[in-house]
Amino acid sequence: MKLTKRFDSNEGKHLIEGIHFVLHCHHYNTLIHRAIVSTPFLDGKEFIFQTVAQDFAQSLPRIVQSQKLSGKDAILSACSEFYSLLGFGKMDLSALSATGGRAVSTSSHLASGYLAKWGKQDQPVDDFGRGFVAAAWATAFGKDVKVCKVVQTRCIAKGDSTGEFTVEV
Amino acid sequence: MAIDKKVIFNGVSQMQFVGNQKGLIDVFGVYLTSGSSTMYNNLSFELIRKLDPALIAEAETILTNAARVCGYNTFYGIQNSVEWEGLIAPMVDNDTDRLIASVEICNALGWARWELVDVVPGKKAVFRAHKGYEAELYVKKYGPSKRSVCYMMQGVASALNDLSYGGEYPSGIYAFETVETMCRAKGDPYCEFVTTRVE
Repeated sequence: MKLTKRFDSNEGKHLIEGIHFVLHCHHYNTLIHRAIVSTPFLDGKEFIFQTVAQDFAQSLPRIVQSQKLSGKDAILSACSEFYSLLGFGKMDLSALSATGGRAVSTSSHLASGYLAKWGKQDQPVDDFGRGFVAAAWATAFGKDVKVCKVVQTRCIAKGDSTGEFTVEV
Repeated sequence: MAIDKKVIFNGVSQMQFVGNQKGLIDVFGVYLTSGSSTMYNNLSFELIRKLDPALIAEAETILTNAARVCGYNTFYGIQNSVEWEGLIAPMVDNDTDRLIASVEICNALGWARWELVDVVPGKKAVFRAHKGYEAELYVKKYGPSKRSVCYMMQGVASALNDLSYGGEYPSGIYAFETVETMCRAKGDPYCEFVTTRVE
């Protein structure tokens, strides 16, 4: 995948296809994630899912457009590659269809971060992955990301060999 | 030897941080992600806006602490990397040089456009940011704020002082505290961060 990357030295911004990206480490991401999911009177996992899904739903169509792609297989593959380039992990989206389906991650930033920082978890943690899967599905099938729910059924941070995400429409 | 900020800025800003075969950016002893600034801002600011006002100060502390822990660990890795050894270490004579060089790395990483305007080594440092994604996007989305909003930069300012003057890693963390005394989100011309040693 060839992306237009540029560093605007006056603004101090790293841009990919005109979108401003910032680097954060697993300490930051896991601490923020854990803080949000444990916030009282807030469904933190849903909040993170929606925030990430809506953000990727803005950026993924621009990436797809920049690559001049069409067809759901090519689009899903490009979304997956972009996700990996950003460091979020490896996500196989190829089994998704317009009616839902399943995505599988063989590595995950949040899962690796949780394992490195706090060890094995009791519950799935990859809400960044959930949000991304929803946005990729919406991008590939031309749908509104808001109609898509994603449930994580397996998680590397729990000790599972892969992460699994079920898309419910 | 003085710190050549331009060499650091140009050298570090050209580094490519992309996922490996596992889709992970495994560098400097941490895993990095490159996320959109809007995503990170929405995670912070929308969280704050959903909270009961009585919980806001605590949430701000949590967000700032996440950035401090991130900055402390990531910059420890950076300061012990081969890249630092090759590019920056020959310019560093003392702890303050290390702080100045680290600020320039922050600029090259795209977190802000920072300058260190005053340093009393080991006691106090004053940073100014003329750019920075937090204040900028806050104003764009919500308009002026009554509170300072640069939680990330506040935490990183503490972390860099912790690393330079706080003592051995990892026990040197929390040696300094930072207050964002001015913020562009409040209408100030720049964001200013005053970092002092915890008594």
